[in-house]
Amino acid sequence: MNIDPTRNYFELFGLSESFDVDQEVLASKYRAFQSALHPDRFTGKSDQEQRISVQHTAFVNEAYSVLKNDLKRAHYLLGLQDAEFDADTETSRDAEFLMQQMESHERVAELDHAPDPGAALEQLACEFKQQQSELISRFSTEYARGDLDAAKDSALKLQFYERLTNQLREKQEKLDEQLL
Amino acid sequence: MALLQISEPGQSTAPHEHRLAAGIDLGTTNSLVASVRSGVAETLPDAEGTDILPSVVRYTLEDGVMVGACALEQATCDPLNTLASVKRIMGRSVDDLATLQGYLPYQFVDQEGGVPQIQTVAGPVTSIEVSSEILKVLRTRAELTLGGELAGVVITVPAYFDDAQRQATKDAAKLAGLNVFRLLNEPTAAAVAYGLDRQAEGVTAVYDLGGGTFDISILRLTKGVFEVLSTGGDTALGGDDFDREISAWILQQAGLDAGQDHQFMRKVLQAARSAKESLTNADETEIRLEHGDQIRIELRLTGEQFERLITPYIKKTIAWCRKTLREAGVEPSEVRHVIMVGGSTRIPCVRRHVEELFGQPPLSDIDPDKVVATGAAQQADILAGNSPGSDMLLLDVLPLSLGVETMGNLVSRIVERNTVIPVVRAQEFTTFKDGQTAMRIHVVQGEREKVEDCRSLATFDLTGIPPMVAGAAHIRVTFQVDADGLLSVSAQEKTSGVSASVEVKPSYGLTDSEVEKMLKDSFEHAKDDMHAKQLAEQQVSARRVLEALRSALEKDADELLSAQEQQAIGQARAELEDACEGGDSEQIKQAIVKLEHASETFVERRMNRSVRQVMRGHRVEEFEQD
Repeated sequence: MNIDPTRNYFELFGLSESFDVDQEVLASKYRAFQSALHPDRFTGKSDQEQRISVQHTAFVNEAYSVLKNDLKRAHYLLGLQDAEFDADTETSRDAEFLMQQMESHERVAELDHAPDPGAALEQLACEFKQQQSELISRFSTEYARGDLDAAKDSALKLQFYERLTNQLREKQEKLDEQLL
Repeated sequence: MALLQISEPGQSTAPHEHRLAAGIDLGTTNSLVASVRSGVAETLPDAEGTDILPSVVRYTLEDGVMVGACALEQATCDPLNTLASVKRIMGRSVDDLATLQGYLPYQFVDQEGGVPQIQTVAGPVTSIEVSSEILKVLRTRAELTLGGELAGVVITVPAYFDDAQRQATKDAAKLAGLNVFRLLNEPTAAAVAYGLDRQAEGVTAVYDLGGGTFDISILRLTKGVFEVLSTGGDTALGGDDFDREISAWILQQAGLDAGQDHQFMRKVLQAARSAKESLTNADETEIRLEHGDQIRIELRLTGEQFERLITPYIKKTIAWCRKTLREAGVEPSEVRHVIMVGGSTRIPCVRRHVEELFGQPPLSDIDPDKVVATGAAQQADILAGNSPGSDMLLLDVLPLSLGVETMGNLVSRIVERNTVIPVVRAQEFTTFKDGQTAMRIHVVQGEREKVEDCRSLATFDLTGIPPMVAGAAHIRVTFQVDADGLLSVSAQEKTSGVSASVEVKPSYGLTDSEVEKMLKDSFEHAKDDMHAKQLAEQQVSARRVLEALRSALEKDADELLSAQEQQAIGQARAELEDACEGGDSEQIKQAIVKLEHASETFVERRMNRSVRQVMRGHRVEEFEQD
């Protein structure tokens, strides 16, 4: 038997099932779990105890990685309400938003031709971050008032920012390499 | 006068046993062993008072195997049998050697696939066996110094080591007869050495530039917990590259080509190394070199010229630092401490570049050659249970993403890099053909999308899948990475509940049976020895199991077990105790399995109670002490 794999992550960490999570409480509870369950605490013990410790720690690690990340937490909350989505096949149907995303992608692509790519990249990163945090607080409100359709749409939109941020990071790495 | 020890009622009557433990830094160029003695972690010197053991092994016909300085001295006159820097080929395949061979003047056995073998006068050897020779010397040194057998060791590896390289290191330890408590990342070990001394809190960067590898790790220290936020680096970048750059410069200045003359090349490399070392404290240095009757080289190398030669490498390390900081989500200015590890960080120009990036002078008050072994010794001491009051805990991450091969040679990611370990992830697969009963899963490690751009780790052959129509079987494959960063795989068909059996074929490493065979071979001329060793090993594990169970039962049997359950455990326990008295290692082994089976529920109940207690917000200390 594992730590009960059906156990709700929020329940495990003693948190209420809401998007807004006190990261400090989360982190300190996480450390308490690790202190009690980590394989390093079972070095001299039987193979069996070590094996179970690995499984328990892995479960706590998984729960923590979901709860501390905004997008993963949003996805998980929707799943709890049976409103899960498939990130690979579903997308937002908001035409205006999609247009804006296409523009954003073009702006990322055009960074190479900017007179000062580094500064332009920073500017873009800043803009994206703000749009992203607006979406995050929108999701929080929508989910809290039980509007799952709207919340799901916001989560789908958040996915775009994950991709944009990754693209910016890749660009940044290329810029770093060019500086060598 | 000796005082009588009287224990509290209900407590163990056995006095707290101090278990001997050591930390080992198995380096590319040098290795060290350290241990905590009287509360202080320190590196252990050999009989001559030298701490550092050069990671050099020489195989001879007459004198057996030589390790360390005595082997290094012969490197020039016996280059092909004197093996240095084998860490660079740990966990590497024959195919990988093409990119490395130019730098390693050994004769590899001509072979197809598998673990590369180096030809020596004493026969072919693998890097695993060479490393185990180094470990054996360190083990003997520690056991002589500490006066007893080691209960276990912590061995450090570069944070960036992949699964194959970690497994190879563990196999080498097994061959050397060492019980490995934990493989610990070198930067984490360094942070432990500094963190415990200073009670440092906040974000720490560990910049580790050794002989053959470069690592950068970003860690967060909070109340005794070390969390690795991200890690990056290059397993083929280090001080050896500087030596080669200087060597190339020497040859170019002298208008010479070393060609296939291994002896001459060794001389040039040695001259390059000593030039590099003298430039640590001087602005310029003389290089003098003679070879045969024809060659006489006299050159002057300035610090400026040296910096020009090595700057491309240092800039590469700085780019890695930026990348790794970004992955941790940390700005360079947020870093509270920068720790320097590795002999190459003594080079002034390296320190300058690091200081520039982080805007603060890096810490180096612990000898950068010894800091890793020192930290490993502290962790080993804690894992051995010698400092029960310590709440230090190290949380490490997976250095490289794990994935499986899918259609079209593409990689499907299972676990992303920088995920905290241990980690368990399940993925479902289905059959392609009607009646299919077997399936092959190819696991790779790396960040690229195509299979050929990642490192192949192993293929797992699943057999015993119940025959069904194509697509009907749902095989749930579970990938588990343990606290050492090592992968294991299990599989189950979901509708029938049948466990598929998994056979692992490591792409580059040794299979378990090959390691067993090597162990047996090393005892080939002493069969009794082998039996005695197996018996001793089983007795040690039996005692460990019995002791752990005894203290757990004393505390919790009444609370967690019914009388009937207690009786079942008691019986299995008595059987194991009886088996221990006998001389049959196989019987002991079976009795251990039986006892573990009998106490499974008990162990799980205890663990679940721990979970509940944390959930209810009890302080950890209340139930942690066993």
